[in-house]
Amino acid sequence: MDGRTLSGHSHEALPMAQGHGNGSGNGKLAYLRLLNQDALTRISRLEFLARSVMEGFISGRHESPYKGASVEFAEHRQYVPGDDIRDLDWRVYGKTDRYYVKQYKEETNLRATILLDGSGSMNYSGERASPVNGEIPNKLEYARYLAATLTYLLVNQQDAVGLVTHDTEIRDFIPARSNARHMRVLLQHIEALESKGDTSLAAVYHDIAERVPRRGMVIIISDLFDEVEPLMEALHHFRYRKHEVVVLHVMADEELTFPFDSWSDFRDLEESGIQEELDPLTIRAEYLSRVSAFVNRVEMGCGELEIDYVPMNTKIPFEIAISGFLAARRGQQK
Amino acid sequence: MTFLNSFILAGLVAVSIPIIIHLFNRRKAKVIEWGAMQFLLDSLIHRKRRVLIEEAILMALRCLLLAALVLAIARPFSPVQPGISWLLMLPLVLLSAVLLAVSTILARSRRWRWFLYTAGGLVVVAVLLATQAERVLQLEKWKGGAEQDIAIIIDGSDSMRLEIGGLSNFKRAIAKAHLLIDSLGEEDHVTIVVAGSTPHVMTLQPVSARSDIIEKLDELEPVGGVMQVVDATVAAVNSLSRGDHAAKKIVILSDRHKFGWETDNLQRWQFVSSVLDKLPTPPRLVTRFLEVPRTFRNLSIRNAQLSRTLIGRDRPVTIGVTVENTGSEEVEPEGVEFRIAGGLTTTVPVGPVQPGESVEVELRHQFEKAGTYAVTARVITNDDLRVDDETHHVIQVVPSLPVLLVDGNTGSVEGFGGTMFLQLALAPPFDLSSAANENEGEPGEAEIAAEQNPALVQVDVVSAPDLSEDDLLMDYRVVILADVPRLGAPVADALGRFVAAGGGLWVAPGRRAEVEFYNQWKLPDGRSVLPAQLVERKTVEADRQVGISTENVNHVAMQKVAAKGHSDLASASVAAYWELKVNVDDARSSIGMLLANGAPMLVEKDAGYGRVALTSLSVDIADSNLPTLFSFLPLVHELTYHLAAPDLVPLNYAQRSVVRFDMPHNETGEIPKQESAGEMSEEQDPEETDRLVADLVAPDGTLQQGTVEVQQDRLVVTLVGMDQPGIYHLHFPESLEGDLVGLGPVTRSTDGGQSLPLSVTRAPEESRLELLSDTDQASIGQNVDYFAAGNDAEMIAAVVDEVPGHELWKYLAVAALLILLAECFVTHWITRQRKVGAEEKVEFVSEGERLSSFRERAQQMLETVRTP
Repeated sequence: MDGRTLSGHSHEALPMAQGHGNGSGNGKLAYLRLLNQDALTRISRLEFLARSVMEGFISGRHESPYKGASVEFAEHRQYVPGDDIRDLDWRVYGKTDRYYVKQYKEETNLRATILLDGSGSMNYSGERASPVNGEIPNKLEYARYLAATLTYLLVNQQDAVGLVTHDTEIRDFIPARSNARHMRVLLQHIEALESKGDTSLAAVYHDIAERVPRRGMVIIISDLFDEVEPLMEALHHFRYRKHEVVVLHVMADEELTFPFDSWSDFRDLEESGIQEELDPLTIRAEYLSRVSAFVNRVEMGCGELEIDYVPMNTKIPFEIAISGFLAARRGQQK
Repeated sequence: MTFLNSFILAGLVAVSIPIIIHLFNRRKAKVIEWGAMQFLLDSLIHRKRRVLIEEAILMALRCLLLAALVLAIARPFSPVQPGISWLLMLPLVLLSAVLLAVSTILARSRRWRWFLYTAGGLVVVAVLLATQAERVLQLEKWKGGAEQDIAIIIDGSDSMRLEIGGLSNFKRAIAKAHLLIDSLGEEDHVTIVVAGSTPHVMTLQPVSARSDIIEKLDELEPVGGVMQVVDATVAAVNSLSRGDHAAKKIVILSDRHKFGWETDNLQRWQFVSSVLDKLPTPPRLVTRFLEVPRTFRNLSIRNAQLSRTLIGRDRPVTIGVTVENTGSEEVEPEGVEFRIAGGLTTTVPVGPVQPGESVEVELRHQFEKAGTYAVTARVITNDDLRVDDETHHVIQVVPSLPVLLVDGNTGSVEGFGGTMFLQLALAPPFDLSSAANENEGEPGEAEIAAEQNPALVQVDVVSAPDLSEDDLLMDYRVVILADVPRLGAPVADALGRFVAAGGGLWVAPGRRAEVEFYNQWKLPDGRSVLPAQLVERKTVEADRQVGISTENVNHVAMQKVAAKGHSDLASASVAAYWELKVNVDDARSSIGMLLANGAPMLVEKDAGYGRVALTSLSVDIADSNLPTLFSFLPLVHELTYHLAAPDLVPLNYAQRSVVRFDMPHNETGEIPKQESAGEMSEEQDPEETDRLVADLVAPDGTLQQGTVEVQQDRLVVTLVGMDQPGIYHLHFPESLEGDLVGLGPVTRSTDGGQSLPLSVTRAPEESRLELLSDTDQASIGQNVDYFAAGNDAEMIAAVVDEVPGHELWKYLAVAALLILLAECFVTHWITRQRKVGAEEKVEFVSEGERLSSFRERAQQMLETVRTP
């Protein structure tokens, strides 16, 4: 999937991406940079794919719990290859001997809420992160791209998207709505999010779990740096509230491999002010085993809670990561 | 401790290399704004302490390694008499390195760390300064100047002849001397002393001609005897004092044999010290002891003894020697060979001798002619020390022993007085000698022997009143006063002179003895003649029995007579005796025998050149039954011989530097007139008349010289350097020949002159290897500057003024190697502990697989789209 070969085919569906060139200089439109041209181009190349993925992602995923309630019949349409055979109206076929596909009213009751972590630790900027627009994003930046892309995709699917930005406390709480203007609001908030403060996810997640309307979809974008057990309890809270939960666990490759080999002065990005001067090699194994234990625990906990856990290593270009994730969703649905 | 390459110590700065690297690493630490602090901190809490300790150990090992290497290259040196032990100094430096290393890692604050750095650095600097100071002190201590005189004393004692592996200890010592001379500087001068019982100085003064010295060294032979260290040292000092250089050294090469060192004689060593102090700079005494073998085979023969002091031709004499195994292994000799000058050689078999065991070997021999005989006894064996396999003895056989028996009992009615018993005992009318010879051989020989060997003792009897001065001018050796009441004053004086000139006198006072006369009787020098005062004549009551005590017999001649099992003296019964009061103030008086009641029975003293015996019993049958006892005959004989013995010239000597003895002019017993001697000394140059030079031929044939001094009534012979075991021959100057005619021991030698054989016996101590102990050496060290070199290098160093000692770099090199190994091990261990390269991988995203699967699927979908 070569970006350059595809870049020639700009797509009308993505007018907003055009503004990106001077997006960073334009305060109002700064958020547009989040809809990275390349990325969106790439994703738009996959429009069909994405759409189908999103359909699958959204419709398929929610078909079972919300059957009948969320999907309203609209009309019949003649079958064309590529249509899902499951959508064939066998009754019409019985009457008319022709293949018709049932068309549903394009309306969804999916209310997705993106929880974007803006805590200090998200500010880590490893050197190995995949560059976006020629710059190496820190974890928050990467998370922004994820959030923005998802917002864009979801809004384009006419789903209601809400946004909660938080650190130790909720900063912005934007309830889910589904229109293009709303998307702009969301993107502006995503753009405006500055990292600060400590991570105390558990408390804030409990809070959010209570505030987000039940039976929604909760997409958590965070590094999840918190005590693991309270965190799992918080995630459980979402499940308890009948939320569909997707965890996009953003971590930098450095955090996962600890590649440092010379004396380093580690300074906490959060507000503790802790500073440790040490030879990284001395604690590497210990550190990695702890990170590994943490990741495994989170992954296992998510598995137990039927939470869709998606590791997001910042060294993977986010569009590929998100495409992969979407593809995986699709795969799951199948 | 000092350093030979002290400038290398600057390299100790290298110890700071790992520290600086560490600090530099820390200083340039990259700041990392870190998010995942919770894991980092958790890891740190868990590992920080351990990591610090590991780091500290590693750093300490690295610093230690560098310090040890630098120290090793700096060649630390431990002098034998260190001011400060290296056991303190080296660990201090190494500990400082450790301190620096550990403080780098563990010090909490920069201030604290710098404090420790300063402390460590100061310790190192202090150590370095101390070693430099020590270096100066040691050089000062061992300094002698560039050029010096060196006396090499080579132990030439008998024990140095001990051969191990075909090489004698003496040769080994010579080799050491070569080694030493080779290492001396061109300008150093050397004198060599071979030390035995007398020191032999090879060069009068220290000489520089090396080739001469080396030639002389190779020709040296041990002089024998005990190494008289003090004499040798004094001789060496004498030689050194003639040297040109101010700095002197004395080196003793020895087998560490203890005898001759006189370490228990403080005064001797103080004397040595005072002699050394006379040199411009008192020299150091350096000893280098040879390695002495622990096992060796050796038999020694010693202690030739005769059964009697006076030997005549009348009966055989027993010559006894002691064979002792002084080695460490059993030795079985083929026998002991006795060789008597004049031809007779007999071998007496000896069984195996265990280590430490002594065997007495005896030869019975009857001499046929009067004269002087050199007897050599040799144990026939092939042991490691040959020199002590032989011993020598010179025996003087006297032709006759004229005895004057003065009978005070002439008036006795019985006519059966003690005099008769004595006469019978001393000169039996029948031939005792043939009876004694019965065992020796065939009757015919015995008869011939009887003819040739007349009875030794020849008795003349004179009654006391008839005794005149003229009688005493005859050639009597012993005068016996039997029951003499008193003597006239001239006779008494003459008898006193007789004793003073070497005659023997036996006084047996009877009941008529006049106390006043005897107690007032004086010698020419004013002392009393008798060894004890007559106090009172005691009569033993009839019902009481007083015998003669056979216990506590002090008298040499009486010990055999009173020996238990042979003697019937114990059955003696005494009726009357004189109570004697020994002159306590006269040290020369001694009680030889006692009566059973404790009263003295025999008292003796040496008076002048003669000897006086006083018995409290007379030989009268009325006083005791002594004359009837079997023991009476040997008692009389032994006492007579004993009294005659002082007149014998002493012919047997131990090895010593100076022998001095005196002898009568001739055998006539003539007492030279005082005036005549005086006239001679006045008229002529005393040196010419009084001191005559006599040739002394040593056993090895070398000619030495002795002096014969003519004094009033004696010849005083002084011989220097009698240190070769064996038989010496003293040749008297011709001018003395007249005086010596007929003099017992002097024989006419082949060249017609008068000569006297003298034997010199080895010091028996040389056969035993007793080593000079450390305590002994310490006592020497109290008096002189003494240094015992432990090896050749130390010896050479101590002499050529290098500080003796040993280098330590090997230890440090080994330590560095061990530290290196430890460092490798610890590093490896830490690497394993930290799982470097083998860390757990965090399974976070299998993005590759996801990506590829995603691409595949995307591809499929795209194709599906394009298909219609």
